[in-house]
Amino acid sequence: MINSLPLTATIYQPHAIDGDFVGKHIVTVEQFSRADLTTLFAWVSDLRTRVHAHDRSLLDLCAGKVMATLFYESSTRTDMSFQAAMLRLGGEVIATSGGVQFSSVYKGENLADTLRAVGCYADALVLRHPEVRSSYEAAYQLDLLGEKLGTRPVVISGGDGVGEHPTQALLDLYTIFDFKGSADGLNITLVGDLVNGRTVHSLAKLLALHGATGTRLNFVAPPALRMPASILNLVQAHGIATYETDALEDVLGDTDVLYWTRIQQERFASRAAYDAIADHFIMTPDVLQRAKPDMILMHPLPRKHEMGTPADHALLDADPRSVYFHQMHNGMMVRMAVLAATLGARL
Amino acid sequence: MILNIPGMIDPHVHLRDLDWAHKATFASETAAALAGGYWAIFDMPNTPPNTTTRAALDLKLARMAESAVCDYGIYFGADQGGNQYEYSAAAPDVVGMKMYCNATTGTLLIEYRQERTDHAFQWVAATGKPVAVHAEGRTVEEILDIMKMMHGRLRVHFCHISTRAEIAMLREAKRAGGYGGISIGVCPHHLYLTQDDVPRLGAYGLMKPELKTSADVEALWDAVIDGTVDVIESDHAPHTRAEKESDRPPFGVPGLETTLPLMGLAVHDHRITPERLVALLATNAQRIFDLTPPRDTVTVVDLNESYTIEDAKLLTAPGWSPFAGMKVWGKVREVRIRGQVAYDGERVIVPAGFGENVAR
Repeated sequence: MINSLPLTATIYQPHAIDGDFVGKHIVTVEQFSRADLTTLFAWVSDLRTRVHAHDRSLLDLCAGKVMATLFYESSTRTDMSFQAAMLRLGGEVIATSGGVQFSSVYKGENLADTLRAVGCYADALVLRHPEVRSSYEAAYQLDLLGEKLGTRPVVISGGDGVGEHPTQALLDLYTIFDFKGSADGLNITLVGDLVNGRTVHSLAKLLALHGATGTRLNFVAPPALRMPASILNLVQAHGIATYETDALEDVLGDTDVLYWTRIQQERFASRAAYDAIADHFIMTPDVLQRAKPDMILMHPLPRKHEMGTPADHALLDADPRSVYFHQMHNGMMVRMAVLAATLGARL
Repeated sequence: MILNIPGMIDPHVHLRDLDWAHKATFASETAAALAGGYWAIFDMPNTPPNTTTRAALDLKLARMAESAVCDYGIYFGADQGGNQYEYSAAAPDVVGMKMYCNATTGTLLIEYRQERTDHAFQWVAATGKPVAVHAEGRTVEEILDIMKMMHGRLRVHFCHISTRAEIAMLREAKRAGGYGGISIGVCPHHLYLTQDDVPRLGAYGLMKPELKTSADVEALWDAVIDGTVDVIESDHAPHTRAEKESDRPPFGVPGLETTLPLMGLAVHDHRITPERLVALLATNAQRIFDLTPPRDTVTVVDLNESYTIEDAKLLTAPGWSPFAGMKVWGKVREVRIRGQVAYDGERVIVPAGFGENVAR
């Protein structure tokens, strides 16, 4: 059993999308087939075009619908992009005034009751919670509540601990499609803390489930922070070649997509142990110089020292191969598509 | 709603085989267990030769090892002839001891309080594993007395509790505390059928304990809902149609393939939550018998899918059910044991002997 969450979080199996998004909770990338991703990404592209054109008919897509955000951890991008997405679709957004810490959670209300309270008010609930599979608990509770009330509230995971962050993986993959046309035949290199990083886990899983062909995944991490065997096995089982190393130079020259993440000092036993490897995991303009001219540099953000000094940031940002702001922008578009689709808008 | 239930257990079945292989076999009934969604089932000792000696236990273990397709546990039986000296040698290979305190199928019966106490003491001296008790009416009270006398060192699983009075007694004992481990099993036939169904069902409605009144049924449901009942157990007891239709029909009905969907029906009717279903069919029994399911041992069930129980579709050897014709909810899509798909929703796909003894 996991953490302190109730049994329901471990027994609930979310429905596969299987061509129909309406009323489906979004809690894991495992719900998406290749066909579902193709459908979703077509919607994302369409929505983006319409947003850029200030198409006011977007406001009809979720008019009259309410989305609640329930964030038990701080977040800028996930929280605000979901809110912006809903507003751009013509829906309304609610949250507890002053954040979760000032809600009845403060009075000791358990998660199940808080979730059901929110499910009574909103059509969609965006949940970020520190415990793995907390969104499964939400899905379970909302299914029972919906049956009781004759409604169909959905939960969309905004990240559960070191578990999954499905919309992040979707926006990452969409960004790869956006710049590279598909995920097929690419050399995709994931760098940094691959043992703890939930974004890299979800992305690797999604690439595997998507069934990318001729794709190679390179995992670049210090020996102590390697990709878990479970994910390596899953990826290989889906026919994706993998390569593990602790030296970026091994793969940099062939890389089409470079996905950079931070290594946290607190993951190391000593400062000395951290210092010994840290220099190898800092992206600088010099490093980017040695990469292919048509590659892209991605990062889930926020970033700190893993992209060097503020001066380095400025140089990296100016490079057209850096697409992390596109990634963020796409994040809102992906969340628009997910909200509209699950809430039954006609896309 | 689709659930992944970890390690479903039916702690009360009579699989037959051995001298009663004409009724059913370990092969046929462990297949039925998989179709019913179970990871493991615990076989009672009253099929001849009674599992009351080390030699009889070895015979059953050997037969089970070569034929079972799901995991299994075995109870050692208390014998009125006095077999307590066998307990310490048997304990490591079994999930618990079974003591029959009221008459039922077979020849085992510990009738006197003195004897019951002695068996309980000897068992506790040999092992900390629970004792499953067949006790009805006043006998429940007597077992509780013995538990109290043993200062909480005895763990008792009260099998197939069926009356309002019994459940009231046990609920009060659980509340009061001081008895040791009390757990309560209830059978689906005592929840969904009453004595009024016997004329319709004939011999197919006869079992021990027999069907009771609707007032009893109501009290049992209350206890299932409020958490007094720990486990829903089938008391799966196959007999051939010929035996059931004879002049002296034996007691017992099959239930391995109908328990999960009948509890799914209770979820559908909003009597219990899916979470409670999982506790009643899996996690409570794991706790009572100190078992952790092996990795990736899961039953995938779709509670939104309904179907009608049909005799012809059952895997249990005699091929009948007292619930035939009932509309139930909860289709087993897959049973995985140790990461292997043992049942794919249609067929058993592991070889004979795949099952393991959960006690080892």
